Amino acid sequence: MILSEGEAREIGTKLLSQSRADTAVAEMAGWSRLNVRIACNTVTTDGKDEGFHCRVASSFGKRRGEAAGNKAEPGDLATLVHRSEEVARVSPEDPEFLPPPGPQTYPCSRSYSPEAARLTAKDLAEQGRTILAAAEAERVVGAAFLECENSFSACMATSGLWVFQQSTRLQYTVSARTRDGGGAGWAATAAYAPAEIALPALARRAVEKALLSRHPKPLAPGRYTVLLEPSAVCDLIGFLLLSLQARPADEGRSFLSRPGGGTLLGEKLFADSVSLRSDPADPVAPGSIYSTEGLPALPRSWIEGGRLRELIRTRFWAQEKKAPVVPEPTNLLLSGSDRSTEELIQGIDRGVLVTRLWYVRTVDPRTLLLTGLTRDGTFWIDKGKIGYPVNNFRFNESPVSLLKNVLALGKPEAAVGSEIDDLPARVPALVSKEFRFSSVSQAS
Amino acid sequence: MSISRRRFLQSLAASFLGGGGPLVTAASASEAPSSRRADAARLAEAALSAARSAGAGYADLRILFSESEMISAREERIENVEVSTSSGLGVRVLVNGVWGFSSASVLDPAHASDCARSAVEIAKANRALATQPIEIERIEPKVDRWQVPIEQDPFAVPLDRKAGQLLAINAEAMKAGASFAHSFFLFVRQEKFFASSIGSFLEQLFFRTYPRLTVTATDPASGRFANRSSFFPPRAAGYEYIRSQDWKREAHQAAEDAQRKLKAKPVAAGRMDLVLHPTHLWLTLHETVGHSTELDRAFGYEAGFAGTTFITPADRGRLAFASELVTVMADRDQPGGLATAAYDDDGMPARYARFPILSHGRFENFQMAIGQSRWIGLPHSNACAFAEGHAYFPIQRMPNISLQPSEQDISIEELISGVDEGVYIMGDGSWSIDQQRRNFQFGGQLFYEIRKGKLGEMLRDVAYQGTTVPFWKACDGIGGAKEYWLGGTLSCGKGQPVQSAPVSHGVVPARFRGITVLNTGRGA
Repeated sequence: MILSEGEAREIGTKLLSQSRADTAVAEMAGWSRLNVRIACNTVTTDGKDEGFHCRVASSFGKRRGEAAGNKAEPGDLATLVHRSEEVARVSPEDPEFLPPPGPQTYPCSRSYSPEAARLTAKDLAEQGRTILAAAEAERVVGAAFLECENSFSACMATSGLWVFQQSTRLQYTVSARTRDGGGAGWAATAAYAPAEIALPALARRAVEKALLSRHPKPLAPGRYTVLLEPSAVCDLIGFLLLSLQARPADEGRSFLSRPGGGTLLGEKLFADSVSLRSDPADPVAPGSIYSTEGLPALPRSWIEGGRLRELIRTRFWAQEKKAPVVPEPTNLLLSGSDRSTEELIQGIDRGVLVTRLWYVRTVDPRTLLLTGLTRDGTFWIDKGKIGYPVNNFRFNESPVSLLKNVLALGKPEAAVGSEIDDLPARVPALVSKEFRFSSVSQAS
Repeated sequence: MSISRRRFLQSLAASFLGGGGPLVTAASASEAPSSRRADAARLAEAALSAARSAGAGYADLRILFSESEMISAREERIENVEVSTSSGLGVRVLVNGVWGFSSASVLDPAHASDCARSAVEIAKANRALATQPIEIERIEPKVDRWQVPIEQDPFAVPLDRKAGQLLAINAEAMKAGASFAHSFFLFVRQEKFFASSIGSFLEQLFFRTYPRLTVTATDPASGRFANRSSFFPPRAAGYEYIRSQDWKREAHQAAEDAQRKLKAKPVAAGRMDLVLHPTHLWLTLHETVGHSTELDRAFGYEAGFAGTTFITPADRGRLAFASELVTVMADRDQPGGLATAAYDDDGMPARYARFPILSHGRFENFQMAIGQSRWIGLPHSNACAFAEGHAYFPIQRMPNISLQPSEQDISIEELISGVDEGVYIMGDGSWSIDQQRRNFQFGGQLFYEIRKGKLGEMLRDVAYQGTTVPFWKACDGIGGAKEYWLGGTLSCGKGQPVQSAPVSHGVVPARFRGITVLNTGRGA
């Protein structure tokens, strides 16, 4: 269910007018999604989903309660308000409760495309044909997932806070496998507008990788120089970005805690070339203009020249620590250079190119040690050229070490991770030394 | 299993009664109001007749009414209380061998009809992509009702009492020396109606209850910290599940364990024997056996996302997957099982879901949803379909999948006594496995060294790596029925759009020889 700003404001105003609480906040979201999924060179599933979600948080003094539902009818919304009040009345006082912030000034973000909002099942089917044609031309087995979303989100509070954003997002992934299952390739992208996506090139990339990755040669586990393509970078750096939390660091239970007390904020932990930002106005990977508690998602430098500049800090924790409030980022932007992936390869004497990571999980929160696997295209780089495909690996590595050991960065582009797939991202391919592959994965 | 931003920082994680006996209805649990049943029937009629008129050869729909309650506490404060309700319907149609699906959250006959027509339109639009038509088997029509048997409806327990219990649990942990304590109760009630064009009309009521405590101990001087979570998995149960646990003891034990972990001895990496407690082994079973035996993976349906599998259709009844001690059964009738139901989301009766996956080490059969059995020459699916909610297309998902106990009365102590040098692991920790379900790495919560058949000191920084078939072939000891325990998760991910499914795994402790153990504190 898609609402205009006027309709959302009207619903929010009516809803809050029913509130008998000291404060109330209403968060609303609505969407219309279309998807089609291809596997084995045929359509498997598809679907349309029209939805609405509303969450109301009410408070009496420091007692707080929340109620959520998926109906936009006035009676249903009134029920939500009353239910949240019932919950608040019986909840114990929360010493950390803060009333909602007042009116805010929000950044601009171009995150809506009327062309994307108008896409139909027929349009997606046509795009699916493009992918099948690319797979059939090379006699490989194609798989894909095409999803388009038209959505709005809004937040209104009795304090006068009001924010509304309309967005569209297209997310396309293409996979290809050789008929014997010995070679696999993958490519993915995300954009807010159809014009930003070159689907034939995306399909070709996946198919070519599948063909190139046939007959992999064995390569022993160990520490290697790696070239991580943007999807792999998105996963590892996404884990890092979302782990930049002030409170656990201050409490001594984070990789950012300093032995003896304090945090590593302000320290130079990474290579000089590393700058990690978030900015909802990014033209390639626009993010939400607001974050937790309806606070503006202002442009922010998390890491600058290798130095840790910011940690995510809630309003309560900021008050406790007499430090600035820093809401969660709504997109991920890792700076790079103008160099293409081919140019990065040319600069590597011996190393491993990784297309994509899979099943990334935290092993040790004290070092942010992660484990996961390579997938869908892993190649040996020899004297500045792609030499041959190699087996997949399991890695055990921390993004902190990865960014400390950066040797080169490519040109940032829209990226979709295997794990971090709902945080708009623009990241480059990245070359880092001494990346630890701990065992071989026989998966192809 | 994909994770989202919202889920990123949250680390989520009985005696066995055989046979598909009569379905139980708990007398004390609330019955579905008849008005809702009548409404569901009207919606079903509107959707199915619209689908038929629009050209669908087959159609089904799921109407869901869901309610959840999440209460979380941090040390001495209630962090958040959220009650949530949602309802909607999803219509699936088969038009000339192509599936179409559409969902709506407005529940009236007009929207139900529109939804069905939209599903048909989508199926027709995607005809251009269909190179292999979908064919489904004939399913027997059923009209039936069933519900998860519970003793106490968790939604009827006053909120302040539940909040008070969480604060009491945290207080016990803090009293026992924890630096931090975080706990939550999650309750889910889901009423599901299924109707299909072959004449089925099914009504099922599910309850899920998940209590969790995570305790952290810190050592500011060294910067070290350690976590320990409770060993109470989510279950299909009511509030009686919360009441049946000894929380005081668990909170104390968790706090003591977390503090001991700070001073535990680093593990010496190498190949050694493992004894895996059920609180740990359920997750290894889930990832290595549960997912590798899904037929849609074997045929490439998940090639782009969740992955394929090392098992081929030709392996049915032939592949030596594990040692002869290992038998793994599927079911949908285990008490407390999160996948326990009378019917799956294709409307297939649960009795079909009782089948061996591994029998004395040999791979016997795949899990299937409708339309898949013909791929391997079988007459029908085995009731392994699930849709996360009304807005999701039903796909092949796990029933309960459980490691069967030894016929002998073998205890954990006996398994440990047969180890000269090894590690004993309790609780689930980090988990990761490749896209063909071969190479895996698992952590845990508590690790103890085993020396000459006896438990020794607590260890830290332990993870083990292996490959599915050699690992299960290295199993040379299985616990007896007295050690049987039901683990599980509410959030097993698969499919695109990604869907979360609840599933339980019954397990007994088991011993594995010569497994690679890593020290994760030294760069792994």
